[in-house]
Amino acid sequence: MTTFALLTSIYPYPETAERFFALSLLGKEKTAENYYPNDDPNISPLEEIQWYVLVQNFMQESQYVLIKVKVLNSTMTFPDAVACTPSPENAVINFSVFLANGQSSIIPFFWHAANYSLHQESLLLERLVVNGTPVTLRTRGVNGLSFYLVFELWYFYSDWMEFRFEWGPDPEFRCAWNQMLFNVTV
Amino acid sequence: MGSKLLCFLLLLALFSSTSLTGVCASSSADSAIAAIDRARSSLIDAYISVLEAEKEGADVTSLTRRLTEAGSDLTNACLFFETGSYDAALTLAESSYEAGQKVETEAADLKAVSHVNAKILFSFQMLGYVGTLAVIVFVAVLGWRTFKERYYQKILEMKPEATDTES
Repeated sequence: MTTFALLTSIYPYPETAERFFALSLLGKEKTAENYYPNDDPNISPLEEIQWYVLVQNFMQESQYVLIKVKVLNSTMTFPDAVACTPSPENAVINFSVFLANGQSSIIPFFWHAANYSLHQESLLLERLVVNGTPVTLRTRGVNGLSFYLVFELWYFYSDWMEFRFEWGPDPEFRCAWNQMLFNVTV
Repeated sequence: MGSKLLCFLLLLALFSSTSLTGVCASSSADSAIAAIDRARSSLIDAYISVLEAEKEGADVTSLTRRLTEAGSDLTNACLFFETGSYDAALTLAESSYEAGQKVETEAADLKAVSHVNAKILFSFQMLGYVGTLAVIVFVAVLGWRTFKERYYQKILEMKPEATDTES
């Protein structure tokens, strides 16, 4: 009995805590509201929007995370939360974040639409300014000029030395992504 | 004749300056992209070192925070590169690389210290366990002996004694 107690204290049972990431998008006051001025997603060019991306690591070990930001319109392929597949579109900006277990990080994401051009009924968004730096893109808004800013969480899988979108045991894959709709009014 | 020669020289000068600018820009771009790749690898190496230090039980929170700052420099370096600001991209990428290198070294040191600490802690734990075990065995033996003695005494007290009934 004593020997058993001794052995179990030296070799404890493996931790069975759930392993996951949390990804949230916060508004101007770092809360889940006030994403747009007057809560109106119809924004005019040069109007700065202040968001924060909150990432939390509960993967039971340190993680190297990449937040890929993509600008999509409604006709493009979005990430699939069920199949855990990312959007095939290119990211316009990547944020690298390193998190110890249980650590969280808040990334400021201040942006505005800078360059655009009108083509018949659609608007071609050519440039965003993110955190003061211009980001080139070519996304065309269709049917109401709607765009989506999509935030995908990718983590560095050190066994394969590559970034992966999904985590967890097959077939119970999990993934984290977020999206916000906006219209550029001209 | 003179004006033709002057025109020719002017055109030659213009052409050479344009091509030189192109070569310089290309060279800056190459340097910047190489620095960005180097910084990216440096961050991955640093992260692997941080993971190893963490497995030894080290607190790596401050290291991950510094790596995030280095990652932010790398992000900005990429953005500057895309906008053609190669010098700014190069500076930021080099800063990111150096930060990654520093974190990697510190993580390796932290890993070594944590390894020694973990060994010492394990030795103390083992000593504690053996000591506890010895105390438990000692108390058990002592208890058993006391119990046994008392039990025998009780049995002896219960033993019927022969009495002289003839008188």
